[in-house]
Amino acid sequence: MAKKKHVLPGFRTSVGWTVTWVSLLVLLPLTALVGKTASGGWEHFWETVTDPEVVATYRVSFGISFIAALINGVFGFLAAWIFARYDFPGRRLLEAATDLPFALPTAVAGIALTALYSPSEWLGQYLEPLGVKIAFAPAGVLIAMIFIGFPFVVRAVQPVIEDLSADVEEAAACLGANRWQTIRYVILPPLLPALFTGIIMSYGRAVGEYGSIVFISGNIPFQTEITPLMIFQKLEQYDYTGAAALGFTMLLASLVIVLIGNRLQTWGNRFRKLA
Amino acid sequence: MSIEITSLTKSFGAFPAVNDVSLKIETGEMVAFLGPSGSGKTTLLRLIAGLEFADKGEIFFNGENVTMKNANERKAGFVFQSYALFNHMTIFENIAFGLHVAPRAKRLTKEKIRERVLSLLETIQLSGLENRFPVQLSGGQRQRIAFARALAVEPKVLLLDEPFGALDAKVRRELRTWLGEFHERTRLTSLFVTHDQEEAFEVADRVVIFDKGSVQKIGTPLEIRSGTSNTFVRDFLGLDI
Ligand SMILES: Nc1ncnc2c1ncn2[C@@H]1O[C@H](COP(=O)(O)OP(=O)(O)OP(=O)(O)O)[C@@H](O)[C@H]1O
Ligand SMILES: [Mg+2]
Repeated sequence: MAKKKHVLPGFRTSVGWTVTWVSLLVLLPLTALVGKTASGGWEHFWETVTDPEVVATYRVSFGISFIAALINGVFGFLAAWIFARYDFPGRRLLEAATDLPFALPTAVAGIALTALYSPSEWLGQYLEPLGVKIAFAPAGVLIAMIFIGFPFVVRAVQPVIEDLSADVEEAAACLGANRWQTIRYVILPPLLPALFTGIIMSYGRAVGEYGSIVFISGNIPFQTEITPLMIFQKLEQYDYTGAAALGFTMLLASLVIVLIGNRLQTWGNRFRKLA
Repeated sequence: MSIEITSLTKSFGAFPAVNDVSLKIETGEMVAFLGPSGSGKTTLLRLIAGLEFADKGEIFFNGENVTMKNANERKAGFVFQSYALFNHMTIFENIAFGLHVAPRAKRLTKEKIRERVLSLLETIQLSGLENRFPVQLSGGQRQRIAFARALAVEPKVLLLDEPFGALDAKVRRELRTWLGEFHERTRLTSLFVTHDQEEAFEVADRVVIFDKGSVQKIGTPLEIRSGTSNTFVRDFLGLDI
């Protein structure tokens, strides 16, 4: 087969570097994790990952995260839209605030949220009589996950909205499209890949989140315990292979999420491929 | 469709981009807006399409006051200099867009839409490209697609903002001739903005010359070239050289 000629210079070198770098940074630790998991034997692995208390945590870590990611998809999109399209006093401040969860130590976020929603605190004291329980309940986990995942959607989508040119919207209007049709058929489709990226990143972040959740969740077994907490508990009990087994399970699940995300992006990008 | 504009003014900040313009365009006319950069040609065209709203003055389509109507109610066929094609849709979907978003009661059947799109592709001499995406076409081809897309909904007026501005001289001349013939055939009321005098004088029935947001001169190409005492117009057209 003839050697393929690449338009970009330094193709080989760049690919070489990328592969080496990714291997060192990502693949090596993952291999170690798999090795550690395997050293515990199949039975121990299966016992650990199917323990009913652990299985209940999957529902929280993967299920509630998913709901949080979808909510972030909707509201992150709206925020990105508003930041990109409207100027109002305090916009910059609000934008900076959106980014805060990126930089904030997660424990700080956890403490802040707990301080807000605990039954005896700020908001909590008014919600409690209404029968709304947030802290030490699944709703608290959801709120923490929304909080930390929100900026991913905004940051992924906003630059793409800013890049949209107004003329296609104007063209659609002149062709008789109402505002809703313009959004549905003209504005949204080119934004989908970025929106998917944002949702997947926010999902991934929430699945792996530990610090901001463990305070507000109250870690109630079978209710608000998350998988990373299980891993932490195993480590505390010197059950390293058990921790690795759970880590491995999360790894597989995350891989599936990332792959699905990639497929969605490819699908959303299909018209660009042809360029 | 006839278009009447009365004392139309539009300012951006304190600066009047269109300043007290009155015009009457008859049904079937092809009118060119000519003038230096920044003289307000695009703004006037956008005001007519409903993409901008006037500070003062009124716009009538066939005697009906449309000043307060939105672009999607006025449905002027607008062709942008940048083409403004929908990059995520095929050529077919681009041209069919206006037909797809029509109110249910007025919407054509799938077969009728297909028929119309294919016949438009033939009109613009691009048959067979319906499954391509805009990025796979040349500039001149894209411009013609934009044109077909605007025509698909059978607009009563065609507004063209420097439709051939981004094309090379040869393609420009070809499309200009084609546009002239198209107008001869359909007599669709058309307004087009241009920098190019030759283009304006060759294709248009009447030419409107703008400067600083105001109309300097209106007339047939012949009237304008023979005898005007307006110094701006003489200067702009290079009549004294
Ligand atoms: N959205 C806007 N905001 C502020 N100023 C604007 C806006 N659109 C146009 N202008 C100003 O209005 C004036 C007229 O602009 P317009 O685009 O109508 O000129 P034009 O005759 O089409 O010029 P050109 O031949 O360069 O396209 C210009 O001075 C321009 O800077
Ligand atoms: Mg212009």
